[in-house]
Amino acid sequence: MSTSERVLVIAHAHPDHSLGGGELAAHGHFRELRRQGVEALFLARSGEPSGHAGTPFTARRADGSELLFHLPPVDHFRHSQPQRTLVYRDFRALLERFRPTAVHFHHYVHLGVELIREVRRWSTQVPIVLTLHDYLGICHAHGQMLKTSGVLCQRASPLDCHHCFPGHTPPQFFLRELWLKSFFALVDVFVSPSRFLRDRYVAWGLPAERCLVLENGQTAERPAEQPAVEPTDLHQRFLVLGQLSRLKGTPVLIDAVRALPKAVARQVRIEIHGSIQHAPEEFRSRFLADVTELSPTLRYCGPYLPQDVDGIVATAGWLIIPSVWWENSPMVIQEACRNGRPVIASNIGGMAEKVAAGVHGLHFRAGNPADLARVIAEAAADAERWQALRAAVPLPPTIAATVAALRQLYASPRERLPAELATLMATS
Amino acid sequence: MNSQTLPGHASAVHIPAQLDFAHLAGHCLIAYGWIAGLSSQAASAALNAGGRRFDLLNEALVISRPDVSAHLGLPAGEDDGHGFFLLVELGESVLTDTQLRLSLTTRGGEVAQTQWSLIPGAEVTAHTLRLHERAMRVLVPRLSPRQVQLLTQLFQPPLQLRASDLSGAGHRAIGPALHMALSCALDASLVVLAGTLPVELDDFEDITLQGAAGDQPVLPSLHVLPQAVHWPGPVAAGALPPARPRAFLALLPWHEGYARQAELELHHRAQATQGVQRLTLRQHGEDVQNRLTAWLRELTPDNRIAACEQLLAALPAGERGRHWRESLVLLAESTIGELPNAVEGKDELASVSVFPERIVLVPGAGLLLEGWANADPGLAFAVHYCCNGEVQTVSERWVRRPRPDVRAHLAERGFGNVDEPGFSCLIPVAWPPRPGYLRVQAGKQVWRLRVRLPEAVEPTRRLVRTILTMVDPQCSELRRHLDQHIGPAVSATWAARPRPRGTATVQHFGPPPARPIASLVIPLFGRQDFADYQLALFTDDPELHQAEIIYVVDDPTIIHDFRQRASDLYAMHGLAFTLAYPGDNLGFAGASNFGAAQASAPLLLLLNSDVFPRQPGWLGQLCARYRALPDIALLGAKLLYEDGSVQHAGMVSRRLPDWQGLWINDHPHKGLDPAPLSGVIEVPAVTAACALIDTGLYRSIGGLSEDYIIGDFEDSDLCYRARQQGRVCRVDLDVVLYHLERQSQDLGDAQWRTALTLYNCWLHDARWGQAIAEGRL
Repeated sequence: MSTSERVLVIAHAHPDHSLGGGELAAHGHFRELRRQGVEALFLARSGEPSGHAGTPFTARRADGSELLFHLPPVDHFRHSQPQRTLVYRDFRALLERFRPTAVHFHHYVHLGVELIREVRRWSTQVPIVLTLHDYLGICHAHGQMLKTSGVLCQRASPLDCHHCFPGHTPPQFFLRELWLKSFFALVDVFVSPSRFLRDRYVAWGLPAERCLVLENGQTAERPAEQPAVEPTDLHQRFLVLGQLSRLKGTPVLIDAVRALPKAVARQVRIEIHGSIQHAPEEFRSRFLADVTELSPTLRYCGPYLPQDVDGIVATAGWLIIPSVWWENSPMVIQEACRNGRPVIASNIGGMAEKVAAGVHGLHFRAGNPADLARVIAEAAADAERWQALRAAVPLPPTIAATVAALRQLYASPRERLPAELATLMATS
Repeated sequence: MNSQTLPGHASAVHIPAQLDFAHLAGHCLIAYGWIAGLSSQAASAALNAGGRRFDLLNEALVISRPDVSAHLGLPAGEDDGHGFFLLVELGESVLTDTQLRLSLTTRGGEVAQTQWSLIPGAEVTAHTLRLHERAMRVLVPRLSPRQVQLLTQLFQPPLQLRASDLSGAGHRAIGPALHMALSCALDASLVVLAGTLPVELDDFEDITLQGAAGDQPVLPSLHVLPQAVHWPGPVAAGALPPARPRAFLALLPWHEGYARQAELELHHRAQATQGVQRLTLRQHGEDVQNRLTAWLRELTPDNRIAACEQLLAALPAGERGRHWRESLVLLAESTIGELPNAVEGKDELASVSVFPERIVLVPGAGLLLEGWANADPGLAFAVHYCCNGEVQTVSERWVRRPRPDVRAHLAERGFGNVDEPGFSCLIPVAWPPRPGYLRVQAGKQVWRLRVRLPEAVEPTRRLVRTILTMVDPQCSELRRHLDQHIGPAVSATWAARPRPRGTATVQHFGPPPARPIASLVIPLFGRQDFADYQLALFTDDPELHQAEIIYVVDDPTIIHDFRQRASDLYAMHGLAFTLAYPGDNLGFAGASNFGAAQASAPLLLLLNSDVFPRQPGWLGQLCARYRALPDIALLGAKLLYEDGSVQHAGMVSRRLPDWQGLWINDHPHKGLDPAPLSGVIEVPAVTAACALIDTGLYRSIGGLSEDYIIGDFEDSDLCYRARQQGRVCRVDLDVVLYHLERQSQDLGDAQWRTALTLYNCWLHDARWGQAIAEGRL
């Protein structure tokens, strides 16, 4: 690739400040682009005031490759940037200065969808790529398609959305949809890390031919180091990784452990690694009491750093992902794959898609502790099956491959993009 | 009843009799009893005590005792006069005997007598009288004033007499005189006699004015003023004043002879007494004015106004009586404030409740009066509005309505179940309005109630709202209420609305297209964010860049904000538009007309701010279709709700039974699947939410009518006017947009909204109802 490739990667936050999956993926892409020799600019929104008079931009890296875009809070209903001069004057100036050959949005939340139109108004030529990390375009409920009543949502409609948010009328939800779609219409390629999420957006009205399924990709296929000696009871050791919350299925796991037959409970070890810092006080105290009650079967090991993940995964045979919402493409599943570990997952959404049941993992009915207990007991009882599943764990897609695919899109003239996309879709 | 029998003297006759009581208290002898057939059979009857004889037929009252008839088994009502009541002052001569002898001589010559005890002592007398208090009260009207005085004092504490006890008590006390206060002539056209009557008018047999012009009967021209007054005349020593003296006013024709001889005699006959008074008929203008005014001012407010009414009615019309009319009107007007504000009368004559609750000034139309009123069904009941010497009968025009809130109040007062005690009435008055009052008439009773006019007229919109809150769609006379009261009041108010207060401005954001295919006129009211949504949904459609987009900000409360944001909107969306501000809130029609006046394209698209396209290409298709139809008036589009069902596919007229058959605009297919609807169809009318019309045609027929308030029905009105030009209205069902109906008009209060729709509906019905009914539209 020539160095005339200039890619503007836009994220809703910088991973230095916020360790969400979207932020990490965006920054990972940016670094990979740079690694591959592409001139890339990382623009991350910051909610703090700029500190520089007369500009909303500050530098995050001395080389100017990473900028913070200081923006006021947006209208979170229709994701509109209220300070429009920041869009048509400052953001436009950035575009004119950097002159990207492609613009990749890793989100519009906190930024404002107006940025998308500004890119298109600046240039009718540059491809615009938008990675969909959640269902936010479809769903006002944190983009989770989980109704405020706790029921999984199959399809948004103005009236149903109004039932979730009585403060907003059905026409308001309809207008929200019209509004967002008027900006999404300017996007050339929607990247979705899971087919499930892509299908939801296609059902919502995004053109299928512009919706590409592409994993964000892992920095390495295999961990750098493997432990020298492996314990023999790995199939009886289970691991839960990541944030602890109701949505992530923590209460489902707790109740499943409580439901384990006594003999099984004595056999198995289940460890939870992750942060409860951001959980509500009531949830935390309840959780800690539960952990104490269920010791030693269940152990809470506290938060961990991203670089420690491989070491932690290596100590157990299984990963459990008990989320009660759809998820997209959970990073935990990719990390399990990288470490050759089968996964026990809720049988819905991105989790069901990414874990092939009976091939390199097992499913249980989402939100059902008894079913999870059954699956844990069966898994712990069958060392041979564990070995078989383990052997079938696929290698996760690498970030290098993902970025290579994206670069094909970035580089193609807009009129040739549909053909390029069709080829990519056929091969993936 | 224990009675004795009077033993016969000459023959063995037995005549039942009883002395209920006989007492000696102070210097008075008081006795109450009966003798069977006293009034019909007795030749003489007497009480004898201590050598004195008291003649019962002359010194006592012979009274009706139906209870005795019942006791004796006699037919009721015939010759009940068995009773007697004796009350005499003995003066210095004191009775020493404690025995009473009751004696009777019948017309047949039999003589009978019996003995009774006379009980002395004030305390025991008072005790006995208390036991007979009711019987005593009944007697009061027939007693002389002195006797009344004595009787009341024999009670301990003294008997308190009520007006009803005393009615008629003056019969024997009047003496001969009317009390005259005034006799004068007004400008040689009207003779005025005024004064006070001591008794009821009916008691007078004749009153005649005698003088140079011959005899003039006074009684036919004599008006008794409604409220009782104090007796201003002399009262004889020891006598009580008349119980219910009444002021009067007699208005007689003028005779030239009075100018030569002002000394007149007033003769009257009443209760077999006669009297004559000499009068001087005063004729000097200033003197008359002062005396008449002074007399009127002495009267109670109600009497004063009643007197003014009589005078105003009797004064000659035209220039001759003008001076007097003006001063009488002023005097009456200055009195209105002293009148009561409501009447709730319940006495033997009438049961009446009248409560005027609300008066609204409606410039150009009159006063709207609301309240509730009720009278006994048997009574001739009328409510008049009197103002500037003119009288209007409110109760002939008013509209009655249910008032559940006052039903309980009326029931408590014995009115039973009153269906519609409320009333509402537009009273036409000259402008500016002068003070007026209500005259309530029920049977013979008259009350006058003040009507306090509001100090100021409400501003137009508030006034419209105030008037419209008086409409009750449930009212059984809804149509008449609208036709005669509410409709004219609102129309007059709206027609007199002030011109815009602010300065109209027109600003362009971005360069307008050189030769636009159409001018979009989009009023904004309340919400301005719709412009943001619309521009976002328009800007990626190249045809919209060929259109002139005119946002008419019809709302002074958002113009500042919108102006601030307008350049942002243009810079963000890159679509040029015009910002037109008419200087005030004009309503949908006014705003659209203001926008249309700025339009430079040959076609005009009336568009609501809550209409949004589904896909690009809609405007071009609509314009192309319009140009291909030579006879087209207005061309509409298929409009959908947010759920995808039909909001509009043309409008038809339908009678609304709930509103007594007023014609409303109905939207066929509303809420149903839009898929089966395609092609271009002819319709009676299209909605102005999205309607294309030739700019010249629009202007030539005067645009949208601004008589409809805020927005409703002006679209079908426009369609009907265009169709009167021989053109037709159509909907292109292949052009589809969304209409989030009513999102652009947030008026809050549902009751107010309904009332407003009702008014617009009524106006539309008044203009087009007949043509629709006759199938001409």
